[in-house]
Amino acid sequence: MSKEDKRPPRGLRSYVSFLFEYMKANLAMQMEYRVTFIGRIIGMMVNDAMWLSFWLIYFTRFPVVQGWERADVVTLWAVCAFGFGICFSVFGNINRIASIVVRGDLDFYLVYPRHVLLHLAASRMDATAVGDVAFGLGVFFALVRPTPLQAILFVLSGILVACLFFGFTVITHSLAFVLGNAEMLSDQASATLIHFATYPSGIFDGPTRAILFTLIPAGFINSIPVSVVRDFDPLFFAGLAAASVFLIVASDRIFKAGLRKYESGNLMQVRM
Amino acid sequence: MIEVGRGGQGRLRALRHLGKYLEMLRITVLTALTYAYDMLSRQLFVVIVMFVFVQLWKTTYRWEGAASIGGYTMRQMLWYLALGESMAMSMPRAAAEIDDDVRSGALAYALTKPYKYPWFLYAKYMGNALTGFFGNLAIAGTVIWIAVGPPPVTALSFTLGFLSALLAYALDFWAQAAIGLSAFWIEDASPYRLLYSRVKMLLGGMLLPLELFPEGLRRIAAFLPTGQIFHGPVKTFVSLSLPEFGGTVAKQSVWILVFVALASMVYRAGVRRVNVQGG
Repeated sequence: MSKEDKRPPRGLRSYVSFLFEYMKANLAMQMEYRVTFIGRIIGMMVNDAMWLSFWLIYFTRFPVVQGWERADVVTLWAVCAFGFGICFSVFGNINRIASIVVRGDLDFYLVYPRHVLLHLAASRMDATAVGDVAFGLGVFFALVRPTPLQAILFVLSGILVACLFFGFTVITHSLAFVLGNAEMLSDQASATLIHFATYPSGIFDGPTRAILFTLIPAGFINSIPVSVVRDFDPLFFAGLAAASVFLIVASDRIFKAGLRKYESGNLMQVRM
Repeated sequence: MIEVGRGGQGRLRALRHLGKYLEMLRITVLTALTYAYDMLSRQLFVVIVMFVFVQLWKTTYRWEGAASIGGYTMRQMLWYLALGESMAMSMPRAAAEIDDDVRSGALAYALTKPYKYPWFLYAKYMGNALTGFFGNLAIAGTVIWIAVGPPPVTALSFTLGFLSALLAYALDFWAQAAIGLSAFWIEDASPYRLLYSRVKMLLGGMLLPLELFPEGLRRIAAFLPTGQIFHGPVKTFVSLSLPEFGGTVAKQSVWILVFVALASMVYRAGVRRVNVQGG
């Protein structure tokens, strides 16, 4: 191997390999407690299945509501679980940012030579999120039986949904830099996004709809089954992609701005 | 005379025991009320849940063009959901607490105290559940009142509904206790806790009254213990039927006895495995 080959890779490729290594380490850590890990995955799949069962019962009683049918709600839960699962199985630490900032635990990540947010986000895997990925893919392919085009659109939408969850979670947790103890607020904001995202877009109108396409970007998620997978609307899809990119960029900027306000707690601790 | 005296002493002892647990309940309520604002701010998410329910069911009733669905008017349906959600969100995670106590060894401390550990937890559970229920109902009820008007309850339906809710809480606690105490044998009981909570949520009728279930599933759900936790008491609140209320209370009582017996059996067997070491 030449000297040049030993230099660390640069750019996007370097970050991809960086994330890949983190994922391998996180997975190896989870596999140390194999039974618990598998139990959590199955537990989350059961949890998602129970929610989906509610909708299946609902659509058995009311076959069409506001243009939504059973297949649409299955797609909604599948894409939501798939996107959420991708986000939190790779970046499982983002829903702990607020508590890390408040406790002064961020110091640990500041000494690393890479992007701080990426390091912080990828340093933990949410085991249950793997169950969400499995549930999303399984349910979509088993119950919706998509065409190849629908399958591609589903996977692309799932990745964009993951970006939305990442951006929104990082932004709400970054409030801790300004407000201090913002753990409850950020948790409730994340729960609000998930809650709105898992109900059919057709039931919301007027000002609520406006909020769901701005302040709480759940409208981009809960419109996917009808506006992307069932009847592809290129304009909506472009809007979904733009919103995802915007939230990723905004979350990075907001986190960096917050970081400038961060005060070290000079916390001494042992990490094992 | 002697026998009467013994009976009297027994009753006195039972009352003293009951007094101990009632005192624990009172202290839990007072503690929860001390942090009432904190508790209410934690429960603000109920506003979002209720708002979404209002949107869903307003759309459903409008789309169906029906004044009543499954025997419920829209006002009854939304108050049913508000009461169900208030109960669900106020149910403490007793199984997780027991699980922690067993794993951390905190249970060993409880064994030396002059109370029975499961009954101590039950008193604590009821204190937290009752304060949580009224706190949640204040928030959920405000949203629903604004959306569809006052609750469709009478003094009698509220009293009987509350009585049935107390039994539902008891049933939930003892079912959770049986699951939590399994920590004596199981490495990680969290999947079972999750499964129980989700079955309770779905088949208990928290998200949807059992009348809207397909017939076969409705019969199964109405028989299971989870079916007595939300649907029975909440239906009594919003649409009282005395025969149905009698049936609900009878089923609740039977399931409570089953779970008290099961939890006590598991507890006795588990405590025999406790190994206390000094230090």
